[in-house]
Amino acid sequence: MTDAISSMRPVLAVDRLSIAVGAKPQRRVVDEVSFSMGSGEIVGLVGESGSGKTMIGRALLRLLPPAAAVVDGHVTFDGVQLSSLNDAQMRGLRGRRIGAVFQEPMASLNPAITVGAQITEGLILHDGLTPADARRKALRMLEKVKIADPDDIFQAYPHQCSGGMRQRIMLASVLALRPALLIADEPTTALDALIRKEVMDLMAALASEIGTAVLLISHDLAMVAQYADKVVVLRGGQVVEQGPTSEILLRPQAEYTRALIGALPARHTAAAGAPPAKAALVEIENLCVDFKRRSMGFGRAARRVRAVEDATLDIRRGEVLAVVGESGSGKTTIGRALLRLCGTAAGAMRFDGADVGEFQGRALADYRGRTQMVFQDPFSSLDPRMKLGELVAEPLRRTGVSRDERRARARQVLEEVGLAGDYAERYPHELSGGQRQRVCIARAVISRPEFIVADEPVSALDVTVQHQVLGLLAQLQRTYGFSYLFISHDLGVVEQIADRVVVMYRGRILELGSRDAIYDRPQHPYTQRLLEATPRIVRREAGGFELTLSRPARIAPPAGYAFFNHGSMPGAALSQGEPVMVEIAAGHSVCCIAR
Amino acid sequence: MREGRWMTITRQPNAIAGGVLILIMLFGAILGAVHTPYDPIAVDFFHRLTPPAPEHWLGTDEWGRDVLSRLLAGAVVSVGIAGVTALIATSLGALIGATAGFLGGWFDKVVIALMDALLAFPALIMALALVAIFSSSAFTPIIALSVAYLPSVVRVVRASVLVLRRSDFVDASMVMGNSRAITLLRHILPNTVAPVIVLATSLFGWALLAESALSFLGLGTPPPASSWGGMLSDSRNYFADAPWLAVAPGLALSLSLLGVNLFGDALRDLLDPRMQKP
Amino acid sequence: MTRYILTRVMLAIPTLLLALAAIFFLVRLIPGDPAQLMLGDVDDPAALARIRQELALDQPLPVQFGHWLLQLLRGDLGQSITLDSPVSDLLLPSFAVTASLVVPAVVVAALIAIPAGVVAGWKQNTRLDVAVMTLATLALSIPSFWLGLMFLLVFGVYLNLLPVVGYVSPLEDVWQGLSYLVLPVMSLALIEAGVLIRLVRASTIEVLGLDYIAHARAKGLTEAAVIVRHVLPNAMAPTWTMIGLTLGGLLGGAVVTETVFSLPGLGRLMVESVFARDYPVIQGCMVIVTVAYVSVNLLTEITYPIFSPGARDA
Repeated sequence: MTDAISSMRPVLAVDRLSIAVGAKPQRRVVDEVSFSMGSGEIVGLVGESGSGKTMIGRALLRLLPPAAAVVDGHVTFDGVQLSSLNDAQMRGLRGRRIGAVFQEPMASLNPAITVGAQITEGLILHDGLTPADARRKALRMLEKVKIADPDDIFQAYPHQCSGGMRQRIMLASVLALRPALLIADEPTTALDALIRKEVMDLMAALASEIGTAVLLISHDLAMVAQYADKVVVLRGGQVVEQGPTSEILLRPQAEYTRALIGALPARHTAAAGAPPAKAALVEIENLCVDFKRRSMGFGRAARRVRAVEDATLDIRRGEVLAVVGESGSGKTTIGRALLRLCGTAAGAMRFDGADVGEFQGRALADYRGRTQMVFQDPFSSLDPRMKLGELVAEPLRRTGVSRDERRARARQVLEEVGLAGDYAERYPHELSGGQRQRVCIARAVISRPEFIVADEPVSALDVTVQHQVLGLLAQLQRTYGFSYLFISHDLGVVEQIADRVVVMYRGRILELGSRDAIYDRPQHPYTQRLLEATPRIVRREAGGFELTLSRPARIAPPAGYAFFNHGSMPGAALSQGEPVMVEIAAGHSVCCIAR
Repeated sequence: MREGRWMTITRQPNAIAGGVLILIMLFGAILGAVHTPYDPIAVDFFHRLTPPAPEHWLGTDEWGRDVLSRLLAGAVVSVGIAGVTALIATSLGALIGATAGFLGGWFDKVVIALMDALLAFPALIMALALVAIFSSSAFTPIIALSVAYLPSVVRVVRASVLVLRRSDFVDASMVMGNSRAITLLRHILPNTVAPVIVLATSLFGWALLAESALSFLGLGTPPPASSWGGMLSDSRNYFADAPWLAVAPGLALSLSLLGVNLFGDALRDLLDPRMQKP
Repeated sequence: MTRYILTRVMLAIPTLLLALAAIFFLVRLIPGDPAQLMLGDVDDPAALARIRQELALDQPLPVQFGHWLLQLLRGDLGQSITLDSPVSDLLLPSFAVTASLVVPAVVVAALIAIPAGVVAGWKQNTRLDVAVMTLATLALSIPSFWLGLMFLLVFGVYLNLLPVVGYVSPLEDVWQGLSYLVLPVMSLALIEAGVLIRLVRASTIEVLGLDYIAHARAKGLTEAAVIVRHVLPNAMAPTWTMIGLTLGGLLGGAVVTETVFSLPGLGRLMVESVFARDYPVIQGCMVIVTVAYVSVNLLTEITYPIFSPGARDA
């Protein structure tokens, strides 16, 4: 995408830029950062939280939060130093020459005015179009970002659009002005994998069509590796290294970059092979779970929504079974139903041979002593008013262990999860996200459960912290031998930790098999698309790394069957009737429908 | 409550001003109960309507009664009624709100319907109606205002219980085998304390204001016992000649309310859950 | 939209019915014969019998309540004990006086509070913000009746600019009517403005922190356009609700201000009826206050989606 002419005169040159927050003492959050971008280039700005990447993006628009200020260096855009412009001139650049897309698609559009008004706003302001012309142009842009019915969406309010649609609408509204530079700050972080791929592909295609340079600010190294021409790696406000993507991400020189990429989840080949044939600890048969969607509307009956439909699976002793799927797939609901946090509509759940649904009183409490859960959000899963020691020891209260022993056990477990010292006396708000998640894990393992449901336990964490926590989970499992139900949307993480994998979509299990079978021989088209949308950076045996992108292969369904489609295969006809799980190899089955 | 956060409150000028005003008000109320310079209800025809002077710091009223003494004695009544009202409304409301939020179902629906209906009566109207039925005494405004403010507390507590009920740490409590009752007592209720304290502060201010309004209308504390509202009401007859009669109790009331508002704001900032993240 | 409105109306009806039931049974709580209560201290067996029949006292309580509701619907609220007049004839003019005090007061309060609150929020933590907030907190701490008294003292007694007490309907004499209303309206408006400013500022600050504001700025809009097009509509949603609640509350709760300025409003009527133990009028006042509160809130809710279109489909 870089041609010879454009690289001679950069569209953007950032020269020893420093940004500080606070006053007395001032703290530098960006320290002498320099890089440049040619026209039409996609440059990835990567780093973990606190690296200052977002601050740089805002500084390029001269829209830093009030507490922060540029203290040194300058930014040259298209030959003009931004600091030399007055406010009105700067406003003339914003939107027209420099566009921006930010992270949260749910909050990126003004809920009080229509989508159309928000897209045309910039066109009328900068291009001086009449409302009618602006509308025509906006509708064309909506079509370009593949909005199915542009006329309806033009008049709709943001709350009527899904997250993926909103982010595409944002793209349309920003790129309609054909800016020379697009600042995209974590543009797809909150989106599901398939939608993320869709939005990123659109962004890259439109940018190259218009000739817009894109500054892609992200924590997602694999995604940046896939789309960016150049990469700038930041740490603590400083540039660690920068250069062409293939150089930096695949043959990193700086130790930090190497550690960062090394921390990405990857399959450890040692774990491959047939899963040990052990007895099942948990068995789920034909499970159905309904949610009552509360409706306040007059004349609207309370709707029942089936969150999980006819799910059958088992979890063997000492194994990690991962459930993957996008939001709304029902993966979390299975875990919650299993721990009796929500009721079931049909089907059976057995734990160690006993019917989970039958547990009452004493038996239920005993069952809960043998199972535990780790939650996604380490900020909300710890009672903010309790000290860590009390929090971790709470599962022991019921067991009649003495107060002193509880305290001792809590200290010991905290030490085991890497929180040695006086942590027992601290409160949750004093810890970082990773530390909190360690506390949650300590609480889950203190009663030596046989089974743990881990619901997206590392999704909220930075790559290196995620790596440590995953390592901790695996190590504790080796020590204590419990089974996991590991729920995640992240196929990379699952590849590292799972023995077997279940793929879900809208309440249905579409495919089930050993980790290697699912990743190397995916059958259902949905599984294939999911894998395709998840680029992974893996270590090469010859040294260095490579970006692996799985390409969907056309696989014929088992004889006499078609792959079951309830929306997971866009473009194909929806299946009618009841699906069946067809075993295509030992322990590997796929959801089909008889032909 | 962590010490670190109390340190931040003591560094805010508004919080300090509010705290000082509240302390003065409480001190006045205690002083009024223990000792006043003059008998607040002793009539002295030789010193009627004297302007503020060294022997009567805030002057005297139409009966020759010392205004400062009446102000202090009135503080006992006003602060007392407001305090008891805030206490009753808060504890009763918290109990009802927490139970409704936690149990849900038909009980919750009934409570919500009743509270919505109660909200349709402004506090003063409610008090007036009860006075009409039970005749005026110190208890009537307490009961009436407690009932009138009940819905606010119920709503706040119920809402935060509903949010807490869905939070992961409550699920975590259930998963570790705690019963619903223990989860409610150990994990949910303690986390509603902060918003309830903030609300109780506001309630105290509202009740102080409403009690004065009732007395101003002649339907609160019966004379000759002094009350700030009653003093303001009486002052209207001597408006042009003795403006201090209207200024003193009004100022006392306004400064007390200012103190409560400033302190309440500081408390709200301090206890805001958004401040709890590092 | 129709469904949204219908839903709101359907939800308001049980609230209103419960409140009316409370009013009905509250009067029944008073010890003694309800018919005698409604008649006052008059010994007239014929009238007593007539009232008994009117109240359907020989029927069970729920039937009595239903009967009472039917009469309400016909506008029949009974006969005043002390004033020789049907209750409804007393209520309507009083309500008109209260409305002519409260509606302008709320409008003035909103006109002060919305710009002041938005500017204070926009210029958060500047001197301007501190000044606005200090004034707002002061205003909110002053009881409206004391502010009214002080206004009377300054404008009426010392400066002799405006009439001190009394009421002339603006419909009869516009200028004189308005001159009687200026002080009471202002004394109510300033205090309500204090409450509203703080809310508007808080919502403004919250909205300013959202991504779509950053986007609006990144589009190159001027600050004025950002505030007017993107901040104001969203900050207005909670403000609108608050304005409705204030209006609904004041329609019954402006009692003290009416007393200070001797306005013959609804609150004044109720206080006098309480003194006179005129139960039919007390009951009538409470009915009107409740109906007004519920209707104003209903109106606020129905119009709410103007500022928050998402509420319609929630």
